[in-house]
Amino acid sequence: MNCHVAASGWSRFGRRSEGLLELASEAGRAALEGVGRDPIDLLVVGHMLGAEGEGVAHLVAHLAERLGVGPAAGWRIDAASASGAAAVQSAALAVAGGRYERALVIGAEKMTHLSTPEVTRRLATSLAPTEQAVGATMPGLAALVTQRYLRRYPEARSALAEVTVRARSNAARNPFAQFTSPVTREAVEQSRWVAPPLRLLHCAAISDGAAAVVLERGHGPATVLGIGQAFSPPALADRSDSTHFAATREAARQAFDPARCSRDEIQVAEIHDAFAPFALIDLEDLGVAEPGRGARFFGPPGAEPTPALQLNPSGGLLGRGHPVGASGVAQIAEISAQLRGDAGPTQLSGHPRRGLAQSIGGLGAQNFVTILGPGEAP
Amino acid sequence: MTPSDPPAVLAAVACASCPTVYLPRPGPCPVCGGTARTPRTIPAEAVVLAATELSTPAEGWPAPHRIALVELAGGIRVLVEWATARLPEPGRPVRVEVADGRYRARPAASGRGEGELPIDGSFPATL
Repeated sequence: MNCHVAASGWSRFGRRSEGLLELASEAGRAALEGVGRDPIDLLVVGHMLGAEGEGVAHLVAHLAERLGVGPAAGWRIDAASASGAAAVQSAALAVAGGRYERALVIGAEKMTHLSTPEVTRRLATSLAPTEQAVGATMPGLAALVTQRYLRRYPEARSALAEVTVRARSNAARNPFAQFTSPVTREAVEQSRWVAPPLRLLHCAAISDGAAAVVLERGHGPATVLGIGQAFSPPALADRSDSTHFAATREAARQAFDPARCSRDEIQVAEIHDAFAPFALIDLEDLGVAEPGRGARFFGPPGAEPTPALQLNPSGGLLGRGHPVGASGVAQIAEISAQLRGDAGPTQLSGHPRRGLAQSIGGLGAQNFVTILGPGEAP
Repeated sequence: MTPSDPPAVLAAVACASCPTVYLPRPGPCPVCGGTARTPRTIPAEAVVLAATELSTPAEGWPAPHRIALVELAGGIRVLVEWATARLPEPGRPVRVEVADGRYRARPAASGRGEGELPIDGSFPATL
């Protein structure tokens, strides 16, 4: 696409005293600094839970004023926990299509001011009404998916704790991450049950935060090479396969076709590990691991050759935190920073050239894949 | 239930455009998109595919709260509220009932405890 990610910005994730507008502005300003205050003619905001309760309905207009990006067009996108990814993709289409020159995309969410049962209720509103009616929650359905997956691939069970251990290890290098201290495998396996077989440390935490990127027409080291998105039935019961997410598979197919690169050429990926087993499922749905073989990315050292793909250098949702509307933008902000070579403390050695971000909306009802890499001259 | 009771059934619908039978819902047939359908009943017996216990349910639900994914005849799946205190093992036969649009399930047998899961740290590795 004739569009590249020119700059990234973040607020610190975690429990924050600031409101949604302040967090979004913080990330937006940080990204704008990366392009030297060049004029923005499009502002797109990804946000899930609704800010009306905080007195900031019409979020995009308030942000435009605070950031001084007018005159610009703008809109807000809701794709549940993939809102950020949807916001980036919509802006990329608008910029590459020639209508706009430079877009600021912000993903933001404020969650920690609410009780855990209330956050759980609000997140569950993205589930199918028939499943909300019996008290389904996001962790509850994730637990059912995990049970089905582990029943088919029981050898994967031992990898689940390692997903969290590696996420927290990576997050410890990320100054914007919610969790900056590592955890042990024992700590994960002894944390309390949330919904068996998921324990507390298998689950991304409730978090506040925002991330932003600036998209520009043209090409660079983080050119948008391919985008894809797809729906699946919102109800888990309506899916023929309850161990994987068909929407990720289709989104990956759409993204890889125009990107003209193979799975093997992706050197760094930010994947949607809202629940530890999803990391394994994501890798299989993306086609970088065979079905049932996602666990080999998380095997004990020396047990099996570790694939060259670097996963979630930011710490992922488990380590960086998962303010739901922000996560999709945070993933693309991290991948693009890695490709530009300006990821700071999380920068990978070897300067990766191609990367991928994968985001899950709801419980896999609308999933997104975005591939970035060096673009061709126009 | 006595031997003279009629078998328990659930209301379902049959798509007029394809062979799909599904539980009543708003919107078209989930397979072909057809909107014409006729009433049908299906046996209320099902088999558990997966079940879990939520330590922190959504606001408004008592804790703990249990849910299960079950499969009815013809491969029709439905998410249910699990009605007893111990979780069922996958493969266990259950009976599904519906009230006020909410599906609930309980053990189909006498409920002596076989095939039910503990919910503490002894959660079996085979699930």
